[in-house]
Amino acid sequence: MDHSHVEEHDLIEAYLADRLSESDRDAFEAHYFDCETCLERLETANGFREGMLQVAAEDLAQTTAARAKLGLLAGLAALSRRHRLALAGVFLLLVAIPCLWLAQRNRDLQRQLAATSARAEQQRAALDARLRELTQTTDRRAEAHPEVNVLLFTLAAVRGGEEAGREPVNQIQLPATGSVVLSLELATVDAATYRASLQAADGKEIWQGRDLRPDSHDTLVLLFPAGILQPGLYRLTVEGVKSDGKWFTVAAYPFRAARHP
Amino acid sequence: MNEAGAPLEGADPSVELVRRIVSGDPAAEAELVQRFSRALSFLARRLTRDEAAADDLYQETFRLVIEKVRGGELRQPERLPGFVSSMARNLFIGSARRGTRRQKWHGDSAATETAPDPAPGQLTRLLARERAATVRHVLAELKNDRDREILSRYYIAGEDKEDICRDLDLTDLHFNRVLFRARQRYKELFERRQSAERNTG
Repeated sequence: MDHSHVEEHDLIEAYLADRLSESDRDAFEAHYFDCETCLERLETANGFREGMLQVAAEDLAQTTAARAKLGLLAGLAALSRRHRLALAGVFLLLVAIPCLWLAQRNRDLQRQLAATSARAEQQRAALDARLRELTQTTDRRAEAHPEVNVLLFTLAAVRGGEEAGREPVNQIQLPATGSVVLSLELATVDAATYRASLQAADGKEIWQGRDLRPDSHDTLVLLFPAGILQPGLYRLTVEGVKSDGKWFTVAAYPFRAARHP
Repeated sequence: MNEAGAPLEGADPSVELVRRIVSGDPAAEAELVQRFSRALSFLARRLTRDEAAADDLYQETFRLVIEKVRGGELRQPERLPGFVSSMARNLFIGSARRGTRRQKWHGDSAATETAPDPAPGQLTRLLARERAATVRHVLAELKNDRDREILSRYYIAGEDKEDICRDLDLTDLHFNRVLFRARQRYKELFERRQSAERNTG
C-alpha cells in the first residue's frame, strides 16, 4: 500500500467512516503506522470529522432548547382568546389568593394587638386604683391608731469611728410591727443644716434625710418603720454644712439591731 | 548487514530495528516506542473512545510487542508496523470481550459501581469544543452553500460520496477538492489556535 493507493481509493475517509473491509482496514493501519504523511492526513481528517459532528450536536442542542421555549409560547398563542383570558384569570387568582389571605391575617393580628393593649391599660388602671386605696387605708390606719410603747433609743455618738469588728455600744431592739425611734444628741449645732444617712454593714445605704434641723435640745429624733430595719449592724452618720458650703461629719452612730423579744 | 554489524544500505528499517531488539539493544526498544507512539496513540483513542482506556491500551500494546519481539516471536520483521497495529486491535477486542463477560457475571449493580465513568473527561470535552470552534470557522469561510451542504451530508448525515455527487451534479474531482480544502483550512486554523494557546499558556 502506498500514498497513491490511499488517495485513489479515498482510504482515509473510508477508514474513518468504518467503510473498509477487515483486510483493507488492517492493511491501512499497518500502512499509517509506518507512514507519517498518511498519519498526519488521518489525524487532520479525523479532527475535522469529529469537529463537524460536534458542531451538529451543539446546533441540535441549541435548536432543541429553543424549540422547548418556543413550544410554550406557541402553546399559549394557539389558545383561543377565551382560553387565554381564563388562563390569565387563573394566574391572577393564584397570585391574589395568598395576598388576600395575608391582608386578612394582618387585620386579625392588629385587632388582637389593640384588644390586648386595651386590656393591659385597664389592668394597669385597676392596679393603680388599688394601690391608691391601700395607701390611703394605711394612712388612715396610722392616723386612726396611735402607736403605744414605741421603742425609743438614744444613740451615743462615736468620733473618729470604731475599731473594725468591735461590737458597737449602741444596741437597739426591733419591734415586729410599728416603728422605732432613734434619738441622736448632736455635739455641735453650729451648722446651718444637717443631713443623715443610714447604712447597713455591707455599706448599702438604706435611708438618707436632708435639710434636717435639730430640736431645741440639740437633738435629732428619727422615727423608722420597723420594716426597713433587719437584725444586724448599722451605721447612722450625721453631717453638717459649713458657712463655706462644705459638708463635714458631725457624728457617727454605729448600732446593732436585734429582734425585740 | 556488513561485516562491522552496521545496517546494510537500503535495508528495511523495521527489520533492522527488530534485529537490534532481539540482540538486546535497549535503545532499539526506545526507538520502537518513539516510532509508533503517535500512530498507536491515534488508534488506541479511536478504538476506546476514552482517554484513560486509550492510555492503558497504549501501554499494554508496547509491553507485549517488545516482549514478543525480544522473544523472537515476530517471524516477519518487515511486518513490524502491522504487528503493532494488530496487537493493539486484538488487545482491545479481548479487553472488550472480557469487560462484557465480567458485567454479565457480576450482575448489573456491581457492574454499574465498578464501571468507568462513560462521560468524556474535561480534556476530551475541551478538545471537542476546540475542534467544533475551528470547524465553525472553516464553514464560515466557505464561499457557497453547496460546499457547506457537501460537508454536512458527507460528515454529518454519513451519505455516500457517489450519492452526493449525483444529487448535486458534481464531479468526483470537485467533491474531493471541497473536502481537501476544508480539511487543509481546518488543519491550518487548528494548529494556529494550538500554537497561540501554547504561547499564552
